[in-house]
Amino acid sequence: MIVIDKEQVYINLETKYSVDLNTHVFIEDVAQVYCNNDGIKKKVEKIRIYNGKDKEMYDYISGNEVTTKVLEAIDNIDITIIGGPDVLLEIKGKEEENKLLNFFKITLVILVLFFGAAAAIVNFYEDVNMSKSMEKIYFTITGVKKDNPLILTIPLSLGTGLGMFAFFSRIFSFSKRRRQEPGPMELELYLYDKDIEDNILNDLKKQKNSQ
Amino acid sequence: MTLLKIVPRATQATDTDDYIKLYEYSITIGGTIASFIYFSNFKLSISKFFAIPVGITIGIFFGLFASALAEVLNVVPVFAKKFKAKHELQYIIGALIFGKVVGALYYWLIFKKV
Repeated sequence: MIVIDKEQVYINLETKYSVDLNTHVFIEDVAQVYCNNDGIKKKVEKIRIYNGKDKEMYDYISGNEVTTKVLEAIDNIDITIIGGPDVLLEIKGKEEENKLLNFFKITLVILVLFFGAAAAIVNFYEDVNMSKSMEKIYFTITGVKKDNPLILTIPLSLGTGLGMFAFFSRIFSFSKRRRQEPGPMELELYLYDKDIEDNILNDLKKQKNSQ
Repeated sequence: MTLLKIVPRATQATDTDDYIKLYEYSITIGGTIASFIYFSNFKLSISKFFAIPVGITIGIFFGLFASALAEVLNVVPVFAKKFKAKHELQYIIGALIFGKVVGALYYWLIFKKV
């Protein structure tokens, strides 16, 4: 009895893929294919897995769809999906950059944050009665009671700016490796994006399940 | 007051992960000593120019603290995404820092005199 072993094919799915409008998506775009047989590998990669859409939206490709489509196209192989279970697809058109509008938007944000931060500091100082505590600290250091000790408060204000700069900046580090790590702001941006994508994927799945 | 992100950020920037215990001690001891001094009339009677480095260090702590608050760290990413301003982020953060410094100086120099 001749036993023919099926070819092993491993497909490693990406978590997310951005695609233009009206562009088809092939297996090679959203996954990495591993196979001993080069011919089968190339054939799997060229399979069309998703048709181009003409409007901007989010959609997803599930691992099951991938397996079904590949088995339809090629017989006699064993497919194993490794990596993520789904691929989130972001379909978007080319973003045109309007320089003037961008400038105004950024200026608006800058003004809001500038005055807002200034007012927040003033309110914070007034709320916690900062002047009394500064006078007490001044007394502890010099033994002199002085109203509004500028020699303490002005370095304090400048030091605040220095502290915030040190917190966010990526220049202010001692080792080269540390400098390349994302700062707190970059980390928050990434986490925010990730949360949004998880949420979108969840919504899409719920929709598809209830259809 | 778990000093969200201040101590981790400080250790990350200075690459001194092993000294975290030391940092915990400085925070606890600093707070305890300050508590004692607050309720007493203790004074050092040294030159007033020592207030300058003290002021700067207190300020640096406030700066780190103010940056780690949710009002900054969670709001700015939302702004950046809505206005598609990821590349101009440095100007936005700069505006925030500048605003806080100017606000503080305004408070001590003008607000208090009025």
